[in-house]
Amino acid sequence: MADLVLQDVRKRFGKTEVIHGVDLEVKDGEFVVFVGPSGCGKSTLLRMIAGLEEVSGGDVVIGGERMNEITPSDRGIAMVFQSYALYPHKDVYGNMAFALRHAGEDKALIDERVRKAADILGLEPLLKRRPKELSGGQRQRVAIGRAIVRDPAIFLFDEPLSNLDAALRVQMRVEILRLHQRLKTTMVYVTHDQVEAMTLADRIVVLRDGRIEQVGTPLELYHHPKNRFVAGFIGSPRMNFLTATPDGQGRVTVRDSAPIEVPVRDATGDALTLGIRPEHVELTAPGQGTLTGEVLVAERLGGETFLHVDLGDAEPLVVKADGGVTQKPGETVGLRFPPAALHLFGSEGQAFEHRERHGLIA
Amino acid sequence: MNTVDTTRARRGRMGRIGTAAGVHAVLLTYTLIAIFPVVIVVLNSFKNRRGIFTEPLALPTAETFSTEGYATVLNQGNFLLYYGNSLIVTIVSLFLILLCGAMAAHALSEYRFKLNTLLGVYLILGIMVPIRLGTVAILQLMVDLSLVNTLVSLILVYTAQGLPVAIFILTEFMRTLSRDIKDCARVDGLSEYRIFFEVVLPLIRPVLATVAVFSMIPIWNDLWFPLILASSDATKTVTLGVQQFIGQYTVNWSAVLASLSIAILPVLVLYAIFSRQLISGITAGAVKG
Repeated sequence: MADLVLQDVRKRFGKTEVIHGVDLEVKDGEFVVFVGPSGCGKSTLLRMIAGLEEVSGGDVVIGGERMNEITPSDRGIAMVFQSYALYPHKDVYGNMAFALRHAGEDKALIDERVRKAADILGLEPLLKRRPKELSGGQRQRVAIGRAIVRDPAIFLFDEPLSNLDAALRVQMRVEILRLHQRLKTTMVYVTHDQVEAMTLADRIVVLRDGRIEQVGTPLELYHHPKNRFVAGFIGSPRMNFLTATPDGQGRVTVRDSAPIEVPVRDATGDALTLGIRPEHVELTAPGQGTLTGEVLVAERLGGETFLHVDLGDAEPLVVKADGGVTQKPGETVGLRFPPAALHLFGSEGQAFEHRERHGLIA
Repeated sequence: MNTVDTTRARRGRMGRIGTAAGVHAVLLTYTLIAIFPVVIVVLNSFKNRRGIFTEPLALPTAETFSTEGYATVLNQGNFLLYYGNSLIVTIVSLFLILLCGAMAAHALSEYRFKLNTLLGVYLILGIMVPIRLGTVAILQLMVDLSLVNTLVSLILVYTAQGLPVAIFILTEFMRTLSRDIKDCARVDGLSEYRIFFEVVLPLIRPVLATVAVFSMIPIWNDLWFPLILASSDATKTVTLGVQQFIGQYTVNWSAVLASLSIAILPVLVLYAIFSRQLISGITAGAVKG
């Protein structure tokens, strides 16, 4: 059990800096997810916490101790890798016991810890198998078991579910969540999948190009993104962005719409962007809503339908509607934007603060 | 429609059988050419002198069959010593090549450091330069080190000779190893040496077998360096020992062929042991492209 603090952490490879000063505090027992597009530095940051990458600047502090020069095994961490990284020549038991055996622990203690971890993950029947005799999900479970056995203060996960198929990923996601509820250990988890981030995290850290864009609970990021990047990254399908023109009286117009009142503070500048999530757009009869457009594509998933509506922009506006909507491609539909669900971004991509916080966020 | 399809299918099948037959004909021809000298050596080692010269290609008959060659070789006492010398030199050199080669390859593929690429090129440069070009210098060096007529001199030379290819093949292969597994071992608290011995070595076993066979054969068969560096009676190797049966005026062919037949044995045994791993090693992308 330990907290984790990053103070102005930087990473340079030769002359290129890839992490530009990250400050972050992870509380004891918290589940924090690093999310961002590939190349944003999330894995590098995790490897720096683990001690696998040298820290070029700043401090990594675990449980109050500065860890920059401490070897990975002495940091009280355990790591689960994307490619499972099981030792192919050892059976499941051997894999799980390896670190403890190496540390010279007592045999009985090793056995007890391995059996307990195997019990938590349902691995008992597989203890004598070799990694190549296991399925992908079982391998990942062994990799997690190996981490549990070490009884770490912090678990580090590096995209652990990326190699699994979709169904298994959902199942393992739930298992990891239950594991966290059971062990109550600090966990840091890296993923590029925002759904994983939303479902697992106590707090999400959104990274881009080696900088933190925003830190917050999943709902904070969803309802109050700090900028356009976070707004577009969190949520699926992604948020619609429309060019908006201020009318000088605190309202904006989009294309040929009537002026819209967006409930944000201090909106300034003239090159504004209006954002609305697909699930918040409401369908109306043509001519009755905020805007009118022609349906290009209707993706029917059964329970819900994604309508791609052409408004004359390069990208169509996506509407997440009920599965029972009857609109077909070629038909004209009206779109209503509920004011409370609107986001307004300035020319730099910064979001203007909403006047009221969302009801679910304290 | 139907008939067209079946004729086309039949033609396709015939064509495939034809191609396969062609491929196998070429392979068989090559195999015959490659094995022929070995078979001749072994066959004639079981004949007497007359048999060898009258009908070199014939099987041993009741008249020509003789094991006098083997008797000569085994009774001449020294031959077992030469055999032992060859074994010692080959095994120790192989061990050193594999150990140092794998360690160097591990360093080159695993660690980022200045001049990494340059060092890699330097280490495998020896592939292009035949070590025999340096014979005079090597001899001088060995004389200065008082290593002439010792097995150590041979072991040193063969290790140097085998390292470039070993490093080249092993580096290429080690680059394909998962980085996660080594990082995982680091998190588990293994030292860099133990990562190499306990995690990396088991993973590269098939390629090690390949490199072992490739490196062993030229060492076992070499005549040049034993002749120059270790020609004393106590340090002769098999290939050099055979020379004692080749005189200026007479050659004891039965003995020569018998000793060569015995000398082939270890290579055959090694190949039989490693053939499976050898093939998987060659096809495991040891050398890309």
